[in-house]
Amino acid sequence: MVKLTMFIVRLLRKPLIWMGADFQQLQIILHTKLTIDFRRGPSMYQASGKKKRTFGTQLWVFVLFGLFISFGFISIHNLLLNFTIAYTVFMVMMTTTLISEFTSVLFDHQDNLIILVRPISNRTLLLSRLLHIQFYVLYIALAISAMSTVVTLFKYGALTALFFIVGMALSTWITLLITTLFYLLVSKVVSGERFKDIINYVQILLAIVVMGGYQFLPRMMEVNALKNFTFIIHSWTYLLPPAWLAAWVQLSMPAGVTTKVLLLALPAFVFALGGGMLMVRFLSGGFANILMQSSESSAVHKKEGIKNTKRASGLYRLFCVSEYEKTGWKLVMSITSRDRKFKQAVYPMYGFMLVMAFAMLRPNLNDLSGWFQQLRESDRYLMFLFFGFFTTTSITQMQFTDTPETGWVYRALPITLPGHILSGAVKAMLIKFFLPMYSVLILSVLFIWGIHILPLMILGAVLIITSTLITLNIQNTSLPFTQAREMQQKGTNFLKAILGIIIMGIVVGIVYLASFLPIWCICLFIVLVLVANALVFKIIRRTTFKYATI
Amino acid sequence: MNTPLISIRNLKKSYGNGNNVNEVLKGINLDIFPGQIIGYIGPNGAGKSTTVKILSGILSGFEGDIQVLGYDLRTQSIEIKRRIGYVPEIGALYDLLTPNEYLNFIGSLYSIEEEALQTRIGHLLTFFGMDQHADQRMDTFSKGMKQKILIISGIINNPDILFLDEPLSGLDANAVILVKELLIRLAAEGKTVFYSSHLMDVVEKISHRIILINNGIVVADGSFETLKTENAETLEKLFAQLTGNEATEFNSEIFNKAFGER
Repeated sequence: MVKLTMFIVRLLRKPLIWMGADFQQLQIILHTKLTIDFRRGPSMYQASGKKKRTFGTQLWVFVLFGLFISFGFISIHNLLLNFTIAYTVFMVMMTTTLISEFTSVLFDHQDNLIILVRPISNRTLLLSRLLHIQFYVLYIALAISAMSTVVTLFKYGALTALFFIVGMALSTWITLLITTLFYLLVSKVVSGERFKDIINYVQILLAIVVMGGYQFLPRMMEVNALKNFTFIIHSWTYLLPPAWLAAWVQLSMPAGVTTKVLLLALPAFVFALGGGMLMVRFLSGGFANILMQSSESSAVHKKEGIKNTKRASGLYRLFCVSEYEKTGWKLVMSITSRDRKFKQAVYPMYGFMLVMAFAMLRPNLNDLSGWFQQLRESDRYLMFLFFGFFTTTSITQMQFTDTPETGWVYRALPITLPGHILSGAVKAMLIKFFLPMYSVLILSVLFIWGIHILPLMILGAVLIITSTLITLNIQNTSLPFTQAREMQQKGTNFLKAILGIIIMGIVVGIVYLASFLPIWCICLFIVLVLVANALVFKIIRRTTFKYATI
Repeated sequence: MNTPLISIRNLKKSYGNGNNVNEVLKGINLDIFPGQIIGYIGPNGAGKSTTVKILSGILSGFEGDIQVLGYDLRTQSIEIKRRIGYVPEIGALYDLLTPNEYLNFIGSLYSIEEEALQTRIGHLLTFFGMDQHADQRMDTFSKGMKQKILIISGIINNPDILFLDEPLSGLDANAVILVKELLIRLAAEGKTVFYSSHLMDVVEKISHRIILINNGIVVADGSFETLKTENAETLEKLFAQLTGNEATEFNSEIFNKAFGER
């Protein structure tokens, strides 16, 4: 694959030189980077922590995924519409992949000390990064569109299929340019750490949008309605990159080519080349500055968290029974609010919860009060318990870190009660991530169904906490921040999910049954579960090093 | 010795922004002449690495004027980078490559002609006793072995100026001697060596000129002979005198208090 890539790069020699690169250096950098990636084996995902699958197998997954998209190809008759939709879907997917997986590659500052001291111009540097990413994205794009290419081949012929593939390559490049442009413009406004924070939030937001999209798009898509649509080129159509590419594919069938189509296809090339040239020529300096800022950020002495100590210490005094527990609590509290990767793993879950709430409760926007009335008469408050469960999934994230080697402290220090650190950490996670969200849930339930549901919701809360604790105990959760993130995906995920669903079902079932009991019974029940809760905490505190994996 | 090779005028550098600014360099003025070994010393966080990184073009966004080899560092950094070498403090190299591959990569970035590059790499690897390891991946190398490769990559373009950030850390005693002699030899050939270090005895012995910075300014500058005084006959003592404060002095009263009076 490295050889193929380098061959393509040599084909593009002229345009790359136009963009302002030293071609010789560009070639060397790319070749070296790709060699390193493939020696690393599972390659590009290294930076984002997914180590398991190799790029090759990953591509096969994308091929399968593309199968579903290709179904759309069979039914739509208008070629322009057909390919505009196809390219839109692909480009959205590419943007997602770029932002979530390749941002770290673009702004990788690990080799600053190797690269920046050499006589390499900023333009060559930026182009080498862009091309490095471009080839991964290109291979992914080709894999996703493989099935669609086959469909195109049979439906429109070989020439069109070829145009389609070239269009795919162009679409990835255009997507990459737009994404990078966005980053570079953001970096003009903010700098350093704030820039990283903003990128972090964009990634979180995007994850939510994508999860939501997978929920809603299939519902909204009415393929039948599109079947016999015709495609009219409006003036604003010239602003849509997918339409440019569709027009380009149309060029392969001279029968359908009009001046308008020709004009519509033109921007694809103008943007790919001109946009690239302008960006590399004028913004590469800014790009180099981002890299340089990354290497200095370590020298800023940041002051953190002094203001909240009083309130926080009040909290842990209330909940923690030993010094060890307080230690675990404090560690979790401070690291979870600073570790970007942690935020990236946890916060999308909350967004997802909102999306799920909409999907499961299906608000009828045309008749809100009627829907409300209907909801009030139903037992759907039980669904809010499911959402409560979602918030506890963040607790398992607590064990993961990018620097598991720091776990040596647990081994080196004479810690007699490691279980206390664990229980303190779990308590902090519950207070920080479960309690606030669940309070919101309770408030909305009270608002819809009224105060008499409150005991049931509290019963739900204590049950959720207890069952989460039991699950944590069964799963041998590690001490906070001691496991490498790559470990996350290993093995037992499927079993864990099944276990989780069963427990969720049991808890919701219990609450449902309890709703038939008189109120004093429910209160007694809550007290009983609280006692059980305390017992499980006791068991967790007894965890010894033999079980507390580091 | 008339025109300086490096001239630094009023160099300032601060990190962070807003109300979280940390000024690391507060106005450094230096003229460096060819054929010298310059030892750049100072306490942790004094700004040694920052200076070296700015001079070798890794960090931008500084205030003041810097001329290296007659070029302006801000606008002509590529010209400068062609003729300098840099050895980083931490083992920053692509350790999935072999020394041969890595050095070829670096050499080609300087556009060194293929054949000349091969012979140069071969000889340098032999010089550092790394020739048997030339085709092994570096991810299993010890810190010292990596450091040797880094030093080779720093001189692969036969630079006029060599910047080194803590070049001796991680090296065994034999390698330390080797590197020390290399530096002396480079200086004898008319090249300039600018290195930072914490090893006072080494700095004392091999430097023609010692520059001591503290809190972002130069507090001592000159050969060891001119710097040493009656009550500071070693560099270590001089260092302690000039950079020490209440926090670094061994205050047994406070130390005892830390563990409670026993």
